[in-house]
Amino acid sequence: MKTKKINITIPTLARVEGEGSLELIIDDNQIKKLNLSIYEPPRFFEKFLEGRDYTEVLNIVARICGICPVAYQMSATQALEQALQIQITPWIHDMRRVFYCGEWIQSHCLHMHLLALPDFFGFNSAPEMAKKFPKEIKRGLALQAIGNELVELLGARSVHPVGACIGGFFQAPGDEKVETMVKKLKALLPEAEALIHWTSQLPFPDSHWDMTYVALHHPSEYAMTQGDIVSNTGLRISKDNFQEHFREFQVPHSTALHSLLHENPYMVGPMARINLNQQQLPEPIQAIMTKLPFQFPSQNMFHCIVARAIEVYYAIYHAIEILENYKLPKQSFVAASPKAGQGFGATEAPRGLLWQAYELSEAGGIKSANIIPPTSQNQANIESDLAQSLKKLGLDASEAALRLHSEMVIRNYDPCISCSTHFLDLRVTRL
Amino acid sequence: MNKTQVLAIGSPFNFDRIGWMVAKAISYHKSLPAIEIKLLDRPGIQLLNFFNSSSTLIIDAVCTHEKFGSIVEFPVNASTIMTIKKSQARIYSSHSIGLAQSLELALALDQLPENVYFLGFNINNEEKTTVSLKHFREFKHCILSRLIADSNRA
Repeated sequence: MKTKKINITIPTLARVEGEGSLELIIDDNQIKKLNLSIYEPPRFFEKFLEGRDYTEVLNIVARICGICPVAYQMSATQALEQALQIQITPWIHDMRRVFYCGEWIQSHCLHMHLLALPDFFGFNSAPEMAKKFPKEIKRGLALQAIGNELVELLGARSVHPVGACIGGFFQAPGDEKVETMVKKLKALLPEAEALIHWTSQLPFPDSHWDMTYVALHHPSEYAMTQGDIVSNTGLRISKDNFQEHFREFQVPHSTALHSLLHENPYMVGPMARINLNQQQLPEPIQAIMTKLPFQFPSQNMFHCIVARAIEVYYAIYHAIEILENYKLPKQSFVAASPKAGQGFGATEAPRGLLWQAYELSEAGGIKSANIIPPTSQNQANIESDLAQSLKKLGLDASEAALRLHSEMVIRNYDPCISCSTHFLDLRVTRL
Repeated sequence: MNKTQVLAIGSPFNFDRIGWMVAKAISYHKSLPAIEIKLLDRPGIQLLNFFNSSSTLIIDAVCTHEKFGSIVEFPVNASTIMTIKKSQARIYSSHSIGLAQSLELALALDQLPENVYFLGFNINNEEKTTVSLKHFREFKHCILSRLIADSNRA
């Protein structure tokens, strides 16, 4: 029998913030090589932070990502407040959750409607899909807009917000603005529910297997801004002990570090959160979930889009819960003064666990910084997921089908090197 | 009367704010017809939510191979949107969804205003540290001429 060798190289992952590629070699119906390569030059943010004053950190880390700046700010502020021994007030805790809700809504809606959904219907792009599903795309844009407005409410602007500070927020929003926001959120809640039902009816590829999920967990809230780090394999640790269990390392084909939990790949993100924390979701949301055609916890990675839709609904619901009882505080932040110390922060970015660590000098200067974003944590799992998914699809599938399926799997993670996308310049060589 | 809408896209950073600066400058012109000016901070796909007039002028900083300070202008339609998309060597925006992609989506959703015109100021020269008064005035003049022409047509 003639040996069939397929070499698929996708040299540029386009429509991404970062730069990456995929190399896949199949020889005689076996995967011989599968590398998700990130060749973007290192950005040195941790080094930029060294020597800076702790008060500058939030504005600097916000620039790491245009889509999830709130996540970078919230993990940083948690770590720095631990180092500075600041206790925040319940008002600040609640407003940080609202701030984060805004980011989840806008990031999830952008990813779902413009990047991931076209795959499920066989469209090449969102504009192509918009011609067939205008109502659904408009709904997505309206939901994304309310997410941006929520970020702006506390952050003063939606892109790279500047309203958060160590100890809280520079300014508290006025009652009138909050009332208007609550009305808008309430009007969109039914739209968010419709989004859950719509996405749950998508034609999902059969792609089930055991995976390790990692997320924050908190006993009294759906973990977003605080909690222990847990997994479905029995892990339960404080954020302070992250490095004792997770190992970051370099692989030759990527400039971004990979991360393993006890030497195994793992997944972070909305599906990990829903799988691990669905009991923390409010009852009305759990009731909606019982009506879905499948149940969480799910082992089908393609259900991730439904997990995102559920989180969009939750974020709107939760923001209403908090803002309906809004009271203008006397002080919107707890004053800090510099001191030497060390702190760790872990919050749930839209794409998953975002861990940071800082060491401060007596004068409040940054002595060291360590930032581990969700995408680098997901990288090893994307590769193992791709291998499993492609085997399930059938390695004898056409090159076009293999390529499309690979893209779909990668997009499903909404990687932020990156943010899942369509690929350019595909070169296929049959040897 | 349907006011012409001026959507100035930008950010607070360096030359990217040129659209905001010139929009603020034209807002002081008393002889201008009725216009509505909005300064948009990197709206991305949310640009669609700001279209509320049948006549819209979009101004922005652009990067092309032309010299710094040169002005790019064209009516926005299916053909020019495709041209911009094809000519984009690199998209400097989140998720690679830039102006062309946003306009393409507006077109697909039938949300593109009847008359949309684009005026871009070329910032494709990293050696430059300031925008000269001459360049700034030329850009402002182009925008004013366009607005007056729109007003005469109406």
